[in-house]
Amino acid sequence: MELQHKRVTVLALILMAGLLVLVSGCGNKPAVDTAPTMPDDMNTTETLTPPVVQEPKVVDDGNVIDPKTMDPQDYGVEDVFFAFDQYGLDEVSMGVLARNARILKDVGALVLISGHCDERGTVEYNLALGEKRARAVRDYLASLGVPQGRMLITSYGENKPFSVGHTDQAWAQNRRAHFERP
Amino acid sequence: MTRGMPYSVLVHALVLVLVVVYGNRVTRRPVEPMHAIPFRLVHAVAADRENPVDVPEPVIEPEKQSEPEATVETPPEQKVELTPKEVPVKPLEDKKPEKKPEVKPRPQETVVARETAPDPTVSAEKSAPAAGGLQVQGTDSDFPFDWYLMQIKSMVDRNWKPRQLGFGKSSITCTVHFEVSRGGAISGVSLIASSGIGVYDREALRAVEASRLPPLPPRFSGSRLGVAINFNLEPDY
Amino acid sequence: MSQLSMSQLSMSKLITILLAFCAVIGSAVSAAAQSSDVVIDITQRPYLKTDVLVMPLDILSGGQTAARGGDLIGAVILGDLDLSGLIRTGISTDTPDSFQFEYLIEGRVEGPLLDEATSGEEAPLTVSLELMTYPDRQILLSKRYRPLAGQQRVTAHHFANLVLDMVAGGKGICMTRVVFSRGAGDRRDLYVVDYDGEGLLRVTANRTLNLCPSWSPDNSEITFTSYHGGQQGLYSLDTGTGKVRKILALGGLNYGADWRSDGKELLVSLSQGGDPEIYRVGTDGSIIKRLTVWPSIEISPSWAPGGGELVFTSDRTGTPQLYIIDKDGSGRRRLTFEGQYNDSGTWSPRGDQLAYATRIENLTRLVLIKPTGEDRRIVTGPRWGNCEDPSWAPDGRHLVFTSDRSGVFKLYVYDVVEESFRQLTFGDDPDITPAWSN
Repeated sequence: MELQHKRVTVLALILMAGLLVLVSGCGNKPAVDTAPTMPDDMNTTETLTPPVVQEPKVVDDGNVIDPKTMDPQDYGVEDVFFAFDQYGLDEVSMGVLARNARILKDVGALVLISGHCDERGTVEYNLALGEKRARAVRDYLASLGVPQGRMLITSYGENKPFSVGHTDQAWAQNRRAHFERP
Repeated sequence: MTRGMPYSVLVHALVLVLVVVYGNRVTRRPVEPMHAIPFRLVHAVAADRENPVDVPEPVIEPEKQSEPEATVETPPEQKVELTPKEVPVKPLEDKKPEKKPEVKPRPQETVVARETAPDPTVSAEKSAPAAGGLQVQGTDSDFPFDWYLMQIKSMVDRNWKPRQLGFGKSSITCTVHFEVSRGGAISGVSLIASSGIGVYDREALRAVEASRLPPLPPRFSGSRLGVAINFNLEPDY
Repeated sequence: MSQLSMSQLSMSKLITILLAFCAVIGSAVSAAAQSSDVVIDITQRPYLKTDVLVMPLDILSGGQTAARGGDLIGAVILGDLDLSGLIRTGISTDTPDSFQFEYLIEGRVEGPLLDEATSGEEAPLTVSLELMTYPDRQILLSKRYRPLAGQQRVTAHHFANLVLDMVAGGKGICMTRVVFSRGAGDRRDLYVVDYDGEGLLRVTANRTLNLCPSWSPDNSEITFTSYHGGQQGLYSLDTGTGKVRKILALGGLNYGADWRSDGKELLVSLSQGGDPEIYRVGTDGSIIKRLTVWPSIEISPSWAPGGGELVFTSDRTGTPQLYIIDKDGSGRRRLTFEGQYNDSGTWSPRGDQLAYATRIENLTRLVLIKPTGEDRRIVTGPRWGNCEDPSWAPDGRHLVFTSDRSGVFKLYVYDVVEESFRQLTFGDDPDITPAWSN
C-alpha cells in the first residue's frame, strides 16, 4: 500500500510541475501571440503629463505650432479688410476675427497687429488711419476674450503695401489689418 | 570898438527879433506827424478845386467821386491834361492859404478808406509793372500842389528799378530825403532810413539822383522843397 | 581904468558871441520855415533780376586737374546763381545790349606743384574768387580757398552764397540739402542730397522702415521715425558723427517731428494716449506739453516761424483739415474749408504763407494758402499725379515735394515766384517725406 501512495504523489507532483511550467511558459511567450497588447507606457501611467502641443486643434498633420517662429497665417489667423477711408469692422470682418480670437486664445501667442492703407492720401494721415484699423481689431479681439497684453499694434500706413498696383483691386488688398509675428 | 558897441548890440537885437518873430509867423502851426493820405489827382481837381466853398461837407465828396472815377479810368490823356499847371491851380488863387489848410485834412481823411482801390488807375500809365498805388502825403498846409508831388513820384518811380531780393522779411522799405530848388535841381540826397540791405538802399538813392524834376510851382513861396520818399518793396510771393 | 576897460572888453566879446549864436539859430529857424517837407510813398513789386557776369576761371598752373577743378567750380557757381531765381547770369561780354552787367565774378586756379603731386597724396587746388562791380571793377568780395577734389562743390556753393548775400540782400540756399526716405517694401532708408541734386548719400542702413525726417535748426541732427525693433520710435541722427540715439518710443505712433527754431523742443504726434495727439517734446524725449485732447486724429504739426503758433491736421469734423493754435494749445482756428481732405501743412520760413496737400478725387495736389486762410492756390495740376509732403527751403521761395507723375514718387523743387519746377531726384525707387535743411 505504501508504495502505491508514493507513486501517485510523485505523479501528481510531476503533473503539477508540468502545469506550472505550462502556465509560466504561457506568460513568457513572446509577442507572436495575435492577441492585442497594451502599449508599453501604460505601465508608467503615474508619470505621464499631457503635453500641450499634442492637442491637434487646427493643424492636422501632427506638426508643432511654435508661435515664436511661425507666422500667424500659418496657424490659421487671417487678416481683415476695410472700406476706403474707414476703420470700422463689417460683419465679414467680425466673423473672421471671431475665429481668430479662438485660435489666439488657444495658441497663447504674442501677435503684432499692423494697420495698412492704400496709397491714396498722404503718408502722415495714412499712418494714423492704419493705426485706427489696428486698434479697432485689437479692441474687438479683446472684447472676445483675447488678453490685451498678447496683442501689440503698429501702423505702416501706405508704406508696406501688399499689392503694388494702382487699381481698385490692389487698393482693396492694401486696406487691411495684418497679423504678424512681433 | 567899445564906442560902437551899443549900436552894434542894438542892430543885432533888432535882427534877432525880426528873425524870431517872422519865423514864428511862418511855422505857427506845429508840424503834424505825417499821415498817409492816399492821393487821387482827379479827386483833388474835381472836388476841392471846383467847390472851395463846399469843402466843409467832406462826407458827401467820396460818393461824388464815383462818377469821375469811371471816366478817368480809361483815357490816360485826361491825366496829362492836368500837367499844364494852370488848370488845377486856378481855383486856388481865390483862396487864402490860411483858410484852406484848416479844412483840407478832413475831406482827405474821410476819403482814405475808399480811395485806395482806384489807385491802380493812376499808376496804370507807368511803363513798369508796378503794383501798389500812388500815395502822396502832404503837410498840405505848406505845399498844396499835389500835381507837383505827382511829378516827383512819377519821375523817381520810373527810374527806380529794384531787383528781386532773397530776404527773410516779407516787405522792405527805405527812406531817401532830398531838396528841390526853385529851378527843380535836386540836392542834399541822403538816406534817412535804411532797409538794412545795401543794394536796395543804393538803388533808391540812384533813382533819386537820376531824376530830373521841373521847377517848383510859381505859387509856392518857399525857396526849396524838402522831400522824403519811402521806397516800399511789395512782396512778390 | 585899465581894469575897467578889460572887463568891458571881455563882456562885449561875450555879448557878441551870444548874439552871433542867436543869429545863426534864427536864420536856421527861418530857413527851415521857408522849406516845407513832404513825404511820398512809392511801392513796386520787383520783377527784375540782378545781372551778373561769371567769367571762366583762369587756370594758372596744375594742368588737367586744375582745369577740371576750375571748370567744375565755375559751373557750380553759375548753377547756384541761376537756381536762386534772383540772378540773370551771363558767361561772356558778348551779349545783346539789353543785358547790362552790374557785377562780375572772376577767379584763378592754381594746381599743386609737381613735387606735391608726385608725393602720392591728393593735393588741394588754390582757388581765388572775386566779386566786383561792373564796369568800374570795384571789388566787393575776395576769397581764397584750398579745396581737395571732394570739396570743390562746397567751395563753389560757399562763394555763391556770399555773392547772393552781397548783391541780392539775402541768405542764399546754396549750401542746403534735402533729406528724404527712399526704398520700397519693408526697407526704406534715409538719404541726403545737395539742393542742386548732386552728392547723393545714404545715411541709414538698418533694414527697416525709416521715414518722416526733420532737420534741427543748426542742421546738426536729423530726427526721424523708425520701425527699428518692430515698434515705431522717434530717433535722432547726429549729422557730424553718424550716431543714432533714440528720443522716444512710446506705445503707438511717434512721428512727424518738427523742430522749433530755437532748437529746444520739437512738435510730435504721439498716440500713446489712444489716438494721435500733438505734443511739445524736449530734445531728450521728455514731454513738455500736450497740445490737443480731442478723440480724433491730430497729426502733422508744423511751427510758425517764431514759434508762437503752429499748424496741424485734425479730423475732428470727420475729414482731415488744417488748424492753427497757439503754442500753449489755445486760440484754435480752422485754416482750410475747401476740400474734403487736407494734410501735411508746413509754414513758410517767411511766415507769409503755408503749403499743404489736398486730395481732390483720389489725387493729392499741392496747395499754397495765406495764414489768414485767404488766397488759396492749387499749384500742381492733374498731370502731376499725386503731390505730397511739401517742405520749404529757408529762403521761403522754394519748396521740395513728392510727385508720382513719372510712375514712381520722386522729389521735385518748386519756385513760388517763377512758378517753375525742376526734378531733384531720379531712379526707380520711391522717394517720400523730404525735408529741406536750414
